[in-house]
Amino acid sequence: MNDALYIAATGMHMQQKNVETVANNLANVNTPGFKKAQVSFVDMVYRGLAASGPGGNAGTASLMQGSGVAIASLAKNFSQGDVKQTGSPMDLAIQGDGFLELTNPEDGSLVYTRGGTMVVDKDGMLATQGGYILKPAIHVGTDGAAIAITSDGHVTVTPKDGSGTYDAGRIALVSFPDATELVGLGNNLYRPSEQSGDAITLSAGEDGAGTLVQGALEGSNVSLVEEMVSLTTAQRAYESSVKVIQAVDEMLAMSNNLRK
Amino acid sequence: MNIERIAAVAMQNDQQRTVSISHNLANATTPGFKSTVPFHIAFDVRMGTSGNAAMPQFDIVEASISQPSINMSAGAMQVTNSTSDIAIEGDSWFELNGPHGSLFTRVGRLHVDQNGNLLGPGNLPVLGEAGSIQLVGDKFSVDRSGNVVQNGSVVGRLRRVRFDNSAQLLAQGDGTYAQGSAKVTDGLKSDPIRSGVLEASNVDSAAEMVRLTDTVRHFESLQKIVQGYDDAQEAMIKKLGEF
Repeated sequence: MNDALYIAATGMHMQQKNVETVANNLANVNTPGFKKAQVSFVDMVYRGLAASGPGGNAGTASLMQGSGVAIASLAKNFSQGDVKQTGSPMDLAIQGDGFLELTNPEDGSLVYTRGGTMVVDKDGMLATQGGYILKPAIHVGTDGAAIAITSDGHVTVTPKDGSGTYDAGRIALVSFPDATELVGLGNNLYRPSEQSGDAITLSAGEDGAGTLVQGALEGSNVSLVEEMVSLTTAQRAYESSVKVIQAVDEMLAMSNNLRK
Repeated sequence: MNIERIAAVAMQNDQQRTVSISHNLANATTPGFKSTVPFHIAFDVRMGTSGNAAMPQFDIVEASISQPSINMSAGAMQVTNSTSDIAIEGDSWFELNGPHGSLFTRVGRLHVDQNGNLLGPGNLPVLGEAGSIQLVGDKFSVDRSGNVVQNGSVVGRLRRVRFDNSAQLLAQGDGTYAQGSAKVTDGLKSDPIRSGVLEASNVDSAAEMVRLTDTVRHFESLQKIVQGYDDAQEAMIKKLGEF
């Protein structure tokens, strides 16, 4: 049958994926630490057509016809979101590059995040709300002590019993050779993949790593304007592929009706 | 004269046109895409030897399948605000190191792999003026002259190639083009680079829809020719058979 149908089908399918990505981005426009996903399209494999012509035009370039559109990648965009002050001392955000390294207490695996609201777990360690413990582990005690975190990651704890401020350790940041290839696990957590490379430990504030901001949360990096424009173009592109299918359908009906 | 043969070839041409239109519309949002324009080779007219010299008979020979040619006009600049997206302000092309030689592209979507290679579309290494570009980590920027800058120092300069007849480039998919019979006029062009934008597809949806409508109606008219001829044959057989 006519290849135009299959090509238009790839067009519709891809625009649908586009709309799904936009919908997920828009749903998470207010999620702290959310990183938007972006679809990138490429045109698909070109095939040579049988070249025929009077006297044989073998000298001309072979006639190449494309076969539609495909998704090259569905990558996360790790540009910085706005850092918004919340005033809560347990909120931690990263201004600049880098991720916090966390340990899963159940199986010891390492996951990464851009920050969020911290809690003190039952052993007195700094952890995320999901129970993932900060690595290197910072012990702050379970007595409701005041915790101060400087921009380069040093954590000082002032216990309630007045025994004086002590240094609890330093929060490290990690970076990746290709952060766009990190695999999202949900809950603003990421794990490395083969393409992203392994984590490289950095000190906050040095070597281009970001700084830590206590009392603030990083907002999502979704731009409403961009997403709405993407949505409109995706819808119209989808519609144009539908029109092509309708037109080709008419042509096939006509060719079928050549013989009454 | 073979009416049905002519009509069949013309109808095949129309079907090929719809394939080309469909591919263009499917890629209306693909960055850096260059639309294909089918142009028909006119039905060849051959001077027949029948009849006498004073009144030569014209015989119509086969028509060839229309050849797609690439429309190389620049697309609009689409702002993405990502420092790893770049576009050339000019008519030169980025050069990539493909598996069978150099490939060229207008899509400036760059990223760094885990070994520090600067890659472009199709995950192929982008060539600088001195070869492929090695980076440390994935933070880099490209300035207006095409220098790839990391941590304040210039790591390399992107090579931009200009062709004489870029419509002769052969599309390979993934936004890349092989050289084909295009001739390089300037292998080190210095067209300015704009960062944070991608060149959008140059497909004109309105023109494609007009072409599509046109093609369908043309197909319909050819169908009528075949049906008309078929009716005439039927009538002729019936009439002659009445003897």
